Amino acid sequence: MATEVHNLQELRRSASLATKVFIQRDYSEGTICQFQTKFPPELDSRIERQLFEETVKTLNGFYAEAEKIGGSSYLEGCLACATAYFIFLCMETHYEKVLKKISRYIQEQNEKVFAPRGLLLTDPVERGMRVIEISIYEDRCSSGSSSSGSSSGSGSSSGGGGGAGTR
Amino acid sequence: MPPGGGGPMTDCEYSQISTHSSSPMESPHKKRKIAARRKWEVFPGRNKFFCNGRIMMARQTGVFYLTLVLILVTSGLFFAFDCPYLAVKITPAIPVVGGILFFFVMGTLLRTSFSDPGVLPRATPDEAADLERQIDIANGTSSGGYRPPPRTKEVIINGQTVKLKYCFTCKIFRPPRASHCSLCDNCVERFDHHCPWVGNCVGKRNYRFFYMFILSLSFLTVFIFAFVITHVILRSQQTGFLNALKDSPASVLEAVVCFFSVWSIVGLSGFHTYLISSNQTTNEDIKGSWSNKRGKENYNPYSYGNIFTNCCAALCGPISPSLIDRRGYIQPDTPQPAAPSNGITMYGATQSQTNMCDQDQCIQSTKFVLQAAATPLLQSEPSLTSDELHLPGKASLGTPCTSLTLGQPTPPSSMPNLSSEAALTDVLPLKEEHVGHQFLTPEEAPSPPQMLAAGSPLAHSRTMHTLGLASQDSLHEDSVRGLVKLSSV
Repeated sequence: MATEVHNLQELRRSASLATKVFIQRDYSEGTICQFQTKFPPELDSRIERQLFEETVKTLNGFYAEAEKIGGSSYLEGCLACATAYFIFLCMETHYEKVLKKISRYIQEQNEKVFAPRGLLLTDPVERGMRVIEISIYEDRCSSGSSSSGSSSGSGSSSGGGGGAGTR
Repeated sequence: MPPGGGGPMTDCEYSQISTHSSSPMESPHKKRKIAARRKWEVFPGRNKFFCNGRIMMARQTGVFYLTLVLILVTSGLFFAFDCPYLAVKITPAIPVVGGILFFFVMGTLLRTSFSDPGVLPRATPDEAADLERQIDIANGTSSGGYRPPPRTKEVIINGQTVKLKYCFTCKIFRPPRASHCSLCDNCVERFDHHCPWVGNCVGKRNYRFFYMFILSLSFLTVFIFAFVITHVILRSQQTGFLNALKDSPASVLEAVVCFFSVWSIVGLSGFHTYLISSNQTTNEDIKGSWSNKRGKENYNPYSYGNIFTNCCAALCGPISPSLIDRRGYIQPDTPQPAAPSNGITMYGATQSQTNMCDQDQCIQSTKFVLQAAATPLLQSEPSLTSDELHLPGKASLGTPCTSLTLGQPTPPSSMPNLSSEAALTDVLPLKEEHVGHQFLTPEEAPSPPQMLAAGSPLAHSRTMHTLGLASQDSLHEDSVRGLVKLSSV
């Protein structure tokens, strides 16, 4: 059959972006990086609530791990201070390591869970850790022939069709 | 339609263009020709970058050079004139310890001055529009008042109610403890103050370096002062006081510099030690955000409870990486989105769309906007006519860190933003009725981005709306192909 779209960049370019949903930060625990797990209504027909919440909770867990103040972070801090912070020229900080883990996780989630549903997560690091940006893609014209593969895409393509009609 | 001024784009682009013209402002053609510009080159804040984006400082660096000179000259004189005598007379450990202190001071100073203090990048147009929409929903779309109500969000942190303010320049709700520095024109996380002596803001990412700097500098100053005095005393025991001064005149200079520095530096170290142990920022302390005087129930929600943990957290906690990605390359423009479902929100008001206007029409439409703005509103003119939002407190950098008038960004800087935002958001609804007749003007209105930089997402959507027509059809085809491919998964 036709080649699968593995490349998410191609998804961005070939499908049409309908809307973006922003998951804001949750500051109830202070300044540490946590995102709200409240399910946005725009995603209601697109993805299961559970999957979404699980993704956000995992991300929150990663960020908590990155910012954890404990034995290892103290050690790193003291070592860095002792070397007048020159050690950061050769060593990666714990935070950076966790951020790399996070982007691998987001990439994996996009490929397995979100792209088949016509969604795309943007790594919060690219948005200044302010929001998780979820781009919702849909095909405007194929309201009838909407792909059976993309599970709940057809439900919301009428919104896109309506938008096209107002022009 | 002759496009405005050429520059490097004098080639074939002109003849191809009928539906969209290039403008000299920020053209996508430029981005293709000038290969791969780095993000620091287009950074919107008032910062200076060196070494291809590796070093980041505030715009005014004169006082920083003074700091450098003072430290280098005093230490240099100490090592050259006092150390030889002291090393012989007392112990060679003195220059060694002095040397270690000196390197530590220089290292932390440069680290403080050159690093990103924790600048929050400005919101992308999509985010800003989404926030605007939510704010309108929350406040009720009332264009009745001349000024929209101040945009705040309340959040409860550890039982304490904290107000998050909306930054009109950066178009975000500031995280708790963040503040907008009017000198650097950036929102900085855990903003402490803007220090002219280090030529940079002091914020989350470089606070520990700053603290280490002033701490080690106090030790160095006391060290040099003590040993210079020792040196003079020892010499005067041999040759008399006046002769001792004649023999080592440098000592006099060093003693004077150190004497005057000691009070302020040691005082500052003490103050910051107090701040660290109570986990407050200078900003919060000055404003008295968590003082008991505000109310019996007022306490600092960020404090960990004990001094030791607070100190460890501030000094040895994890360092978050820079969010502004100075050395990254600018990505090619994001693809144009589908037609918006309603005219209000906009997506992808990228620069390729803002420059799809004619220079003359830009000017005309700007005049129109200014005229329209001038009539119904009280305070629009000064803000609209300013090129940028000229924030107060730009001058007078001679004051040391302890004087914090410079670092008081939020109340004064948000005011001009507020009035210009008010002007724009009130003006644009008025013009929506004229869309039918004055086809071009409302759409072209926001096009000079510098002029109306305070962001008119509503108007942007109009521009995108009409101009997106041509490109929608090509996307149509692609999107079908794309989703057919997806379906085969």
